[in-house]
This record gives sequence, structure tokens and C-alpha cells, in this order.
Amino acid sequence: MDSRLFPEAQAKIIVRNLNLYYGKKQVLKNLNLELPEKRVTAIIGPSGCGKSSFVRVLNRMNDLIPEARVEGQVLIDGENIYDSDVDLAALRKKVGMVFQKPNPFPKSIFDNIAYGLRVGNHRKPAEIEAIVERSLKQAALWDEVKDRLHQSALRLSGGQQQRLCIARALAVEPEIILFDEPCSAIDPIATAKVEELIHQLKKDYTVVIVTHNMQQAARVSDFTAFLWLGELVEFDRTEKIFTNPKNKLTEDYITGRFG
Amino acid sequence: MERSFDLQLQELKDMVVLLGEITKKAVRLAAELTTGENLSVIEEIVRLEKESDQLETELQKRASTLMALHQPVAGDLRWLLTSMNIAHELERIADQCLNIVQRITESKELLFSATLPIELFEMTARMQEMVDDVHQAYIRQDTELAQEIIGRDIFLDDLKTKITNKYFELITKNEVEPALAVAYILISRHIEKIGDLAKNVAEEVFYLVHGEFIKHRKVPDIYN
Repeated sequence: MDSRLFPEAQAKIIVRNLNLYYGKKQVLKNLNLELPEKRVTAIIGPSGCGKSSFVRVLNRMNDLIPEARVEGQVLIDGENIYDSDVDLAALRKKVGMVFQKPNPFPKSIFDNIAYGLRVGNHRKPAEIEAIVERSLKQAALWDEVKDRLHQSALRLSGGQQQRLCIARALAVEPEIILFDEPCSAIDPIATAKVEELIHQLKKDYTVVIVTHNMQQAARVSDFTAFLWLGELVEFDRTEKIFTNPKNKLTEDYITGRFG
Repeated sequence: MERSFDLQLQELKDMVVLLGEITKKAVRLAAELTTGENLSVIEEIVRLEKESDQLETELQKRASTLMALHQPVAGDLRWLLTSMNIAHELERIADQCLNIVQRITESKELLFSATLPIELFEMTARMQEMVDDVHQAYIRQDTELAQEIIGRDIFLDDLKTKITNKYFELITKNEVEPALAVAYILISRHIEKIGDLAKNVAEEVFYLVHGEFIKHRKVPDIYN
């Protein structure tokens, strides 16, 4: 991949000759790309093109699928996350993930965030409280929930639940956040809040977002990768992809001429 | 399956072509008025200018709606943006034709009693050629022709400068009626402006095809 694409930023994630198989089916085909640090990269493509599978490769979520097999390298800060000695818990702490449907734990708002902090750590209650507050503020949810932190998270609206999940991901201080269609289950107002949040997050985090919504990719991302049938068709600056893509397949997809 | 957006976009493209035809006609008549002293074309130029205003307004309205409702990207976006920009430039060409009408009407006795400077003859011919050709460049999406048109703009600039210098000098020497000299200078400015606007259209054609802005680039850079 041409690293001149982002001379102003470092590559946080480098993907080399990546192939992913589910059993005999190959879902990702020889992907090579570099994702810039503290930028938002959108992954777009039609259903089944492998975009969700791709982001799941980035924190080894596919390890949970027994028949999944990965070939090639995924380097994060220069280290191959598929090396046999990689500490998976540390990797997933470093690479957080927010899913399509908000999935809060059936616990209080406070405990949803504190839970990850208590696991394997011996933090003082005051420290946990401070992190909960900081994470909720980062996720632009604090003002809406500060007076009811001990109420059930399940009583929040869908959009609030999604921001809670983002706060939960932020609490463990990741460096990369993967969003897998984070707005597909929430309304336009909540979507606008999450998009604004993603915009804010790139100051401190490397963000990768999978989205079906082309306009969302255009609005929130700095770079866009277009996948088709498991192959990387085009990767470029978002403004270039959406005004003058090089590849006809990309043009046909983003202008809705597919199929 | 044809998208409804494609049909609506095609209508916009057809409107630009129509607006181009109107402008071409207005320019031809303005040239006829300047060189042939044919006052009978004035009414038609006025009508064409009004028609171009209405068509441009309608096009901008439809284009804004398409933009808001379909949020086009890539090639679709470039078609929409260039349709809006080209329509605006064409409408301004028709405005300049009306300016020529005004200059000639207010000084017709003086103008018709004198011989038209050769430079103005040349300017009217070149202006017509540029407007006709840029219309073709748009229809055929011919960027080679568009680049050539951009290169031609300098001839109109030079001729205008020549006329301006020549008639300022004649005014200073008291060898020309100042009102006549001013009329020539102003007409040359209107024609030169039409050349500029045709050049702008050519730049839009280039952007439409290549997605690259070449406005404000020097001519040799555009060829590279």
C-alpha cells in the first residue's frame, strides 16, 4: 500500500497479505493496506464483502469462530497480533470494539463501565469513579446520566445505550476502536451524536468503522476502503473516493449502480 | 435498472445543452449587431437573455433538490456540480450579450458612422468560435477541445488590451470622439468577458471528466 496516502500520519495498523477463511470459504483475499494513526478509516462494501470480518481480524475476534483461519500478518505498532505469544486480553484492551446493536450488561450504568476496570485490576473505588466519569464525558453521555448512574443501563434509549458501550470501550484506555455498524440500530438524532463523538475520538484514538451507510462513511472518515467479494478494490482519502474514485466498481457501488 | 436519479440528471444535462444553444444564438446575434450594424436583432437578444435567466433559475432549483434528496457522489456529484456551474456561466454570457446591446444602443449614431476597428471584427469571430466549441466540448465531454479553448482565451485578452491602448492614445491625441472610443473599449471588454466565461465552462468540462480543478492554472501547466 502506498504510504504516501497519509504522509502526515503514522501507520498504526499494517495489514500484509491477509487471507481469512471460514472453513473452505475464503472471505478475505490477500488484503494489503495501512491504517493511519489517530484518523478515522471507514470500511465500505456490499453485504457479505468481508468488511465486518476484516475488523474482527484486527482484534482477533474471529478466534472465537472454530473454523476461522487467518493467513498473513496484522501488525499493530509493528507487532504481529497473530504471533503465537500474543496476550489476547492485552490485545483486546488495546483494540476496543463497539458492535452494531448496543449490548449493555444488565447492570447499572456505573457498573457497565466499572466492570471491565474491576476485572483483573485492583483499582481503588475513587479511581474507578473517576474513570467512569471521564469515560462517560468522553462518550458525551455524562450530562444525560450523571444523576442516575445507579439505574439500570437497560432503561436508557438505544442511542444512549450505544454511547454507554462506547464509554465502556474507552474506560480501559484502548488505542484503537473498531466500530461495526454502530448506528444501524439507532435513530438519526442518536446517529448524529455518535458520529460527532467519532469525530472527537480521532484526536486520541485510531478509529476503524464499518458502515453500510455511504453518507456516514463520507461524513465521519478521513480514509475509505472499499471491499468487494473479500478483495480490497480501492483505498484512498475519503474526499477522493466520494468525488473521483479511480475504480469503476467503487464508482458504481457508491453511486448505487450495483446489481 | 435505470435509477430515477439518472432520469432527472439527464433532464438537467438536456437543460444545459438547451441553455448552451440559447447562449450560442445570443452570441451570434450580438456579433451580428456589432459587425453588421443590424439593429433588428436586438429584440431577439433581449428575449434570449430573459429565456436564459429563466432556464438557469429552473436548473438551479432542480439541481438543489436533486442534491438534497439524493446526496450524489463521485461522477453523479460532478455532473450535478458542473451542470449548476456551467448554467451559471452560460447565463452570464447571455448577460454580456445584453451589455453589448446596451453599449451599441446608447452610441449607435457614433458607431454606425465610423468603421469598426479590425480588432473588434476579430474579437467577435473568436468569441463565437469559443462559445460554439465549448458547447461541443460539453456535449462530447471532450477535454482536449476544452484545453484548447482555455488556451485561446489569451487572444481575446490581447485584442482587448490592444483596443484599449489604441483608443486611449487616440483620445489623448484628440484624434477620436471620446464617446466612440469608450464604446469600442467597453464592447471589447464585454467580448473579452464572454471569452473568460467560455473558458470557465471549458474548465468545468475538464473537472467533469477528470475530477480535477484546473482553474487559475497557467495554460502550459494544464497541458502537462
